[in-house]
Amino acid sequence: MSRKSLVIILTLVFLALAQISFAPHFIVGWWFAWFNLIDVPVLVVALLEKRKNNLGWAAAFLGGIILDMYSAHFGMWLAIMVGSVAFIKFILKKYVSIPSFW
Amino acid sequence: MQTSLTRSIGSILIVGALAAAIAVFNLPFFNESLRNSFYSAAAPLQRGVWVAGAQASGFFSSFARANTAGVENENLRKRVTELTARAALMEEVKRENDFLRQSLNLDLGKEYDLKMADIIGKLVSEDRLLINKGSRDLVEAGMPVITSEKAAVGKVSKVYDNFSEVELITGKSFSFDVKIGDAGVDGLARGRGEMSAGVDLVPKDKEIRGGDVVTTSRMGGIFPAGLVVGRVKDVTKNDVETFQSASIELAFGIGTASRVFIANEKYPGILQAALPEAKKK
Repeated sequence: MSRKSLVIILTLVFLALAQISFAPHFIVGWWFAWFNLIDVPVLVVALLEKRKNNLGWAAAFLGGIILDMYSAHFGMWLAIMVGSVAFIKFILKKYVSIPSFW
Repeated sequence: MQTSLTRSIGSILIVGALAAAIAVFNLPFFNESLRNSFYSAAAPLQRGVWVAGAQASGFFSSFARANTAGVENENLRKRVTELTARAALMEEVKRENDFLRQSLNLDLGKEYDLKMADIIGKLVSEDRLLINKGSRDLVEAGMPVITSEKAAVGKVSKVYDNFSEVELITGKSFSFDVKIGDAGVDGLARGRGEMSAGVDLVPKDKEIRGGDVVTTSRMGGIFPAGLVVGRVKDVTKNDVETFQSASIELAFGIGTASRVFIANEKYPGILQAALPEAKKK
């Protein structure tokens, strides 16, 4: 396992803990229900990684599973995360050319 | 050409496998065992983070209530002194016992077996809490959940081996009968989602005012009578509608909560109704 993957996994686990057990004390609102802490790193990785890399997919898969564990229906967040990464990758491949940092 | 075809077939197979895995994991047996194992692994960390969140929330809420800072500061100083003295004398187990004893002093203890549970998290995009008591602790779906201050929290909606989900009274599908104010005006409390609730179906000829206390009624069959739900906030009344409604400022808030009680009725059904008469005789 590469160092990057390990960092991503630890970050997602840490953010999941914060999302489930820390954030509810402070943040309330409809936007909190759909935009959460785990979305951010997954989308950032998908945006910034090199096109041939698959870390974004792995992050979406792991983030989706973690969120689904704390949702009423298993699979919804996994589909949203993987779908979002697929959409970003598609847009980047077809229409955008930006420098990659990862 | 062939590479592109192989890639497409590969993608379709991956999506299919993922869909099949999701379907399998949604089967009750797999779903419940998987979640129970996951929660068991994460619970010790989650509990610590939840308590830290509650403490931090309490700390920051004092900034929000800056206008009463003087009095609050004084109270907090007393509290800190008291807690420091207590912390020196007692260990965690002793503290839990005190907490239990305090709650058993409530009248509820006569009619209900109260099981203490720790909150370990809140489900994503749902008004549901996760607590650390499950079917192994004889928790069943439908049991009411309350706080030590006799405030209604919700009811157990799903039970795993060691954990349960609690649907909060703010959940959109949650409704129960309540009484409002000293006159005991009947109404139906309904969850409005995102940690808010209101009361509907209040007859228009009855007067309710902001600040009236909303309490549970036995009629709904979910909660024991007399638990505090909150206070009436804004009353909505118009000529077109038959009933008036109001929003509720809830007595229970996630902010600083860290423990709840699951109430298990000792004498359910008819026996419960007959008990006060039998006691008189």
